[in-house]
Amino acid sequence: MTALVQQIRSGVMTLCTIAACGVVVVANRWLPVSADIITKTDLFIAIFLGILYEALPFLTAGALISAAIHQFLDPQWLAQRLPKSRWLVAFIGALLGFFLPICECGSIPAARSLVYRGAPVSLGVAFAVAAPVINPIVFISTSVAFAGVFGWSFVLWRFGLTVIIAVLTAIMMPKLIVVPSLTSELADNHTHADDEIPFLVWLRHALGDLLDMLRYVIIGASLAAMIQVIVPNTLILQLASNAWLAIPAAMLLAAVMSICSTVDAFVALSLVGSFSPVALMAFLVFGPIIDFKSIPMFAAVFGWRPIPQFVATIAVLTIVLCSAIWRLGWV
Amino acid sequence: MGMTRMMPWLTGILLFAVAALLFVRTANGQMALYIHPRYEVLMYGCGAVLFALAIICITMPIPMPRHSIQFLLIPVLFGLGIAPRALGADAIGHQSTALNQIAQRPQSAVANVSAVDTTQWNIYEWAVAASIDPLVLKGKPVQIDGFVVRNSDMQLADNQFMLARYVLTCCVADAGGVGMHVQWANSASYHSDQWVRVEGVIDLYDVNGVMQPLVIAHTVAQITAPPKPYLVLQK
Repeated sequence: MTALVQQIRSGVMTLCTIAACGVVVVANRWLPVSADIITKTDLFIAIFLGILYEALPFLTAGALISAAIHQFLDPQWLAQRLPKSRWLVAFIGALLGFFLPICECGSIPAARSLVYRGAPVSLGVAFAVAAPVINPIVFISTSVAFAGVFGWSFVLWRFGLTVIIAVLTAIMMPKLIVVPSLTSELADNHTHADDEIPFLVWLRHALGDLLDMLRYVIIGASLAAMIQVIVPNTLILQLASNAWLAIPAAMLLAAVMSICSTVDAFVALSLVGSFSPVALMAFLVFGPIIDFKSIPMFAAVFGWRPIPQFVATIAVLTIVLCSAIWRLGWV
Repeated sequence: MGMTRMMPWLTGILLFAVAALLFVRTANGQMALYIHPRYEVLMYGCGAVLFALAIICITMPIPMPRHSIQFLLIPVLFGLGIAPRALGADAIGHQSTALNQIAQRPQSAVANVSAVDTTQWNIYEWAVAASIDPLVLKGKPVQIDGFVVRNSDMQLADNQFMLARYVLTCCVADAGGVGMHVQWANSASYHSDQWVRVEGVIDLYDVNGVMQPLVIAHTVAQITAPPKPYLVLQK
């Protein structure tokens, strides 16, 4: 009976989704609605699909890496090699991204797999937070964009602050737990037969991770697109002229834009005339960790309950640390 | 066939549809309306992996995450249902950008503007140059392509329109519009979103004490919209 109810509920939800999207499509193409509504729905769909298309390759790569960790990483091997100190473990987690160059779409499912395979949660949290920035691609893009504008110290501080925030977040939130996922259930409930081809098992795990995370990326892309349509970027840019509001405004802009960390340095470069260097530092540190695309993904891994504290911790650390290096004259 | 047994099939078909969208939109150039062209190779790679995963989904079903089908339906319906359209004049107020120092050509050229061929500059490069030192640009020749913006809230003179382009760094989420005012006797005959090529010279006009460039057009010719309408930052 419960299964039947679930099936009916699922069918109704599918019909509702088709109906809702259908109304948008039909109204946009054929109904005589106002030009402003057409503009806004066009803009919403363009931004939504832009964020989603751009995220899909990284999400897919993340699912493949996550599945590989699940399948090939030996928990005993990991346990024997990790130090006992939580600080050291978090520090290792923060630097691990350099060897797994993926943005947040990939780092969050990969972090979950690391924890399932025996890594301490602090390592997983530090990895998930730092990996979008601590990787070779971001180092190159940030250097090309900013070394000639604000100097190498600006470039290095982006990475330094990200490591500090990742380690402190992992230490300050010791009660975070990783909620079970489809991949973990697949692994728990499935004993590999000898004749199973490892490549196909890997793809099955990757499929589970992709379908799981894709839901949250779609929610995040919808939210980001909706807010961009309702609150034009120009409004947030106006806040940048106030010295006190510049840092939060830059962080808000980064969260709303939800762009990939591999190229966000060039977007930040386009804001040089509007934001102070310290506000841009906040944009570059906060944006890759927290945006409307990553928040639902973090919630998929840690559950929704700790997310407000998680976001607030990272936001406060970003504001405090960026303000500190600014007051000290380091940027 | 029960709903539970149909789910892997439906999910697989939707994954096929997403993969096909990536392939087709990239191959026919429409993906450039959403993302920076540097990602095109990634789109093909991602499409191939999604095809493989769609086959796995149908042939070796796994327990599906809740509401997978409903979520997958959203990009498929939007992607297939609404024809890709470049951002145009109507969104220019929503998506504005701040000028910056990225365009290397004008940045280095402004110091020695008499020695460079400014007809090679696009709207973005003109806007960057004007933000550095508009005074040295007066009288320089211009040849720029873009779409016309004649929104009612812009309060343009009858003999003026704005010529604009969007600049893209990553995807449409960061697209920003840049534009230049053009003075042309028959401005009223052009409507918003019409693509034109403007040739003329730069003059300057005062906006609240700040000198802004104004293109005094010698010719305005209607052109077809380019297949990749956004200016992209190459780095």
